[in-house]
Amino acid sequence: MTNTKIISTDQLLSVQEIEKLTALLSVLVPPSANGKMPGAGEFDLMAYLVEQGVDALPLIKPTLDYFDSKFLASSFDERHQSVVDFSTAEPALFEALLFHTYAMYYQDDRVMAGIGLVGGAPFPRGNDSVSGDLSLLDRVVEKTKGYRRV
Amino acid sequence: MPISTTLEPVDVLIIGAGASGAAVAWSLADTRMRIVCLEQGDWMNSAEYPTTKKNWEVQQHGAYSIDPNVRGLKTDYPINNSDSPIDVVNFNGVGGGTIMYAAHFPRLHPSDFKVKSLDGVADDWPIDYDTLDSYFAQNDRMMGVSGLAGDPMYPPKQPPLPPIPMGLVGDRMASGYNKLGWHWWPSDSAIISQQYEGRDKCLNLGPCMSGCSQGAKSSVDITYWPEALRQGVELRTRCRVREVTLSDDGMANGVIYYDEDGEECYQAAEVVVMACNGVGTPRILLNSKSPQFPDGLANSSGMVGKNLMFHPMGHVQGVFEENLDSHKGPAGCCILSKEFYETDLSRGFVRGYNMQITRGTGPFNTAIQGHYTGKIPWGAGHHEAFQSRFDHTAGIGVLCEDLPEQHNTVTLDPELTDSDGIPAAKINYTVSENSQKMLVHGIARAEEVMHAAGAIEINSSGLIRSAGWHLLGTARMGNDPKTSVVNHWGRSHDVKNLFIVDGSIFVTAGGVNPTSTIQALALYIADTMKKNLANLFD
Repeated sequence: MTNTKIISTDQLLSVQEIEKLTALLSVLVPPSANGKMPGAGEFDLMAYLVEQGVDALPLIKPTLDYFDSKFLASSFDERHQSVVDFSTAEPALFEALLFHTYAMYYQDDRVMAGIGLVGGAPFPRGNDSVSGDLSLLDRVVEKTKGYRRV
Repeated sequence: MPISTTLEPVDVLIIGAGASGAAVAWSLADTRMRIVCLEQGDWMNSAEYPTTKKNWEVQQHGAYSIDPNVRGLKTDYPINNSDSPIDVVNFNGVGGGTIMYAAHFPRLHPSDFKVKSLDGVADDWPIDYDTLDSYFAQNDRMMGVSGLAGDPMYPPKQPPLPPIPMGLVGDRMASGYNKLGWHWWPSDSAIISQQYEGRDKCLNLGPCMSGCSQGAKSSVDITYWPEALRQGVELRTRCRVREVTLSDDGMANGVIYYDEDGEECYQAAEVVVMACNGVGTPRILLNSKSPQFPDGLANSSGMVGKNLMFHPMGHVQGVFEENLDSHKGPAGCCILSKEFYETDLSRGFVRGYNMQITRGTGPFNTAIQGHYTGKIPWGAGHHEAFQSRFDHTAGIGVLCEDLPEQHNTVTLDPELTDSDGIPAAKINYTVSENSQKMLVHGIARAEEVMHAAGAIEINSSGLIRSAGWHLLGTARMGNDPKTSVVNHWGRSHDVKNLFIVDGSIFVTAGGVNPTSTIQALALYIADTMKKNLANLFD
């Protein structure tokens, strides 16, 4: 009996599929114009899913199968339109892809640095927060009638 | 099927190790009775909470979701919400809902206990604010509550710790309320703002609702339980109670539960205390059928499972030009407003609502929620839209008082079961016309505040589906056994050694997060039990 859970190769996608996935991710999150933010195509979504989203792995092939070989040869605007069409035709696949793309992207240290944050786990680093201006309450104490007496 | 294990009888058996079960266990511990608590979930390990990992935000959508149907853990039980516009959210484990609550900790108001007398609707509680006053204070000390004395919307009270930082969000929103001349106040928060009882102060991590890695949030696994265990209370995890059993003389005499291996066990007890909150408690009682109680234990009134109250909740988000450091600080605790809490019939509804200022989310949740709401596109324009929102938002949760209605129910689902085969809970609930009007009013007022605070964009959500945190009223307290399940100190009218100490005994819901009041009630009931030990069953 064949155990289908055994991965017999560490290459989950063909070279062309990897290129297609990279192009697709670059459409979902392109690099920023000022160069501060990388595009999602610069990251390895498959490696991310193996580590953190294994349940989504089976969704990748059918996602890539939606896009024919012309996708790679098309312009950015054409690719964008293809992804819009995909989101309408296969909403569940599209939503899963976007969820995991954002999940991968907004964990990356370069992305965190681009939005002014430090990457990694929040704990034990924590955050500083200003205590706030309690003198703003003077007006409340002055104006509030008080609680309803029983 | 024969019961595989029968255990030595105990004096007091508590079902559920959450907010109320922990408080009652601690309070009863000084009696030196043999007390056992059965909890269907596990102890939590704060080192495993999401904020110890870089994918902390993603985990909130899976293993650390607030929704048991999403988590799908073996320690959870499924809930059929298909006939409710609000989904039940909860947590099962030592600490119960306090593991994932926001720790917003206001008390009910004095008027909340006298709704019938004051406003002619629902029923008065058989107790009042003054009955609970000292227990509120005791609970604040045990939990570690931060806040600021002097709120004119409450009788005098003194939180043991100074308020948690309001942050830039709090300042901005406070200025909006001040412009309108409306009440606001720093929230009482079950989060420690200074070192307290061996715990270190809040680090402003943000996502309190997926567990606090720092231990600054006052969940009862780190407040009441260590004290109760030290005093000899026994807490058994992975014990899922199926039913409370009854003796021939009509007294509860124990429970049947499943242990971690699915083995059926019987635990005999002199006193049984239900602490499973507004869905779990009626579920077990309804499943405890006997010739004396064919419709469920302690249910001669027919009120077990009826009068379910949530707090219907809406949300208004404001986007601001300046950076508000929105993701820093406890997400659900900042400031609140009671401007529209008390009844004013000119508004078109009776009773009122609380406005709870909330902070923002982390980067991933900002992006994915922005997608769901259509505010942050994927593709071209993503970065610009993201940057205009991340750390630039503040929120107002409009939390409406729900009034009891008998057609809002928790029943046993005829098909759905948990992993031990116990029938799951089925929710039937509709939002009343009064609550709908209140919600519309509250959202409009929250939008006014956002305008006054200087928001450049305002996004309003109507009724939020995944906000069924507050589970109240399904085994109500009252003086009349025909219309209530327990008396004025939580003892079942029908079964004299059965007590209920959780949110199910609320007569009305008030318009605030209920945990503070649930725990004060539990302490009050435990104290009354202790005062009546000699004639507890008379």
